[in-house]
Amino acid sequence: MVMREVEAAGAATGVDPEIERRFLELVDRWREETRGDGVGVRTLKHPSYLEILEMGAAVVPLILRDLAAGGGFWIGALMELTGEDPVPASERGRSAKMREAWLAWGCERGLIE
Amino acid sequence: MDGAAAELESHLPGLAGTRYAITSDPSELYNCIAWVAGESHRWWSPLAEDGEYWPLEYQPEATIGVVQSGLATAGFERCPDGALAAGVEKIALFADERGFTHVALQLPNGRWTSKLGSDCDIEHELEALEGFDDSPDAYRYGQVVAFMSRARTR
Repeated sequence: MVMREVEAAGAATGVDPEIERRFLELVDRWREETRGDGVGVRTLKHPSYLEILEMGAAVVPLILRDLAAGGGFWIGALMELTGEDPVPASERGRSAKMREAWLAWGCERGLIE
Repeated sequence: MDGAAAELESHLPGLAGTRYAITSDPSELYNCIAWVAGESHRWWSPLAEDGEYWPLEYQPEATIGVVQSGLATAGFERCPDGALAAGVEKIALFADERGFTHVALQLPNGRWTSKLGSDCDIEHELEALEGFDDSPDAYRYGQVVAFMSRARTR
């Protein structure tokens, strides 16, 4: 069910402009207000991050696009929103490999180019 | 005061009136844990949700003990204080009631250097980073709760 909702969201280029506008607004505020944090203790409890999660599967293509551009702290959100974990156990803790696994996952589903 | 310093002091009011220097541009490539371990090309975090580098198994919470275990893989051992000692590189770990918040590295001159999240690096006095301001703009690092050390190699 979750995956069908994610795939229905389509690629980032096809996301509802209003959802995209709100997503970008929340990401900007989230990054600005957690800029001093060394680990995600506050980052992952920030109201903007939690609101992004509440936006549901529609934002997965936008998250993948941000991840591809170098944005961090998205792995937990992707796991929660998709119910999937494409990262092999041997690659956990290796951030570059984890990003690659998620971007490959998104490409396979047409969610990111 | 230049604009960068004024903005930094708005996040860390404890710096105002102390001797500090901004020593790098902001960077999202690395964080405070990476910085004290000697790296500036990747972010270290023990939380699986962060999806960043960690040398050990991910943990559900970033406690001081968890971060100390990660830093032990870089050669650091627990030590009693942050007093300057020849040939020894010390780090100071900060925490608040929610757990680990920050770690700073002692320079050979006795001052400290920190990477502030995805913001800049600074050289500073240790106590200047302590604070519990919960406003959205504050870099809330709590207070120093532990020290570690290893042989100085740099």
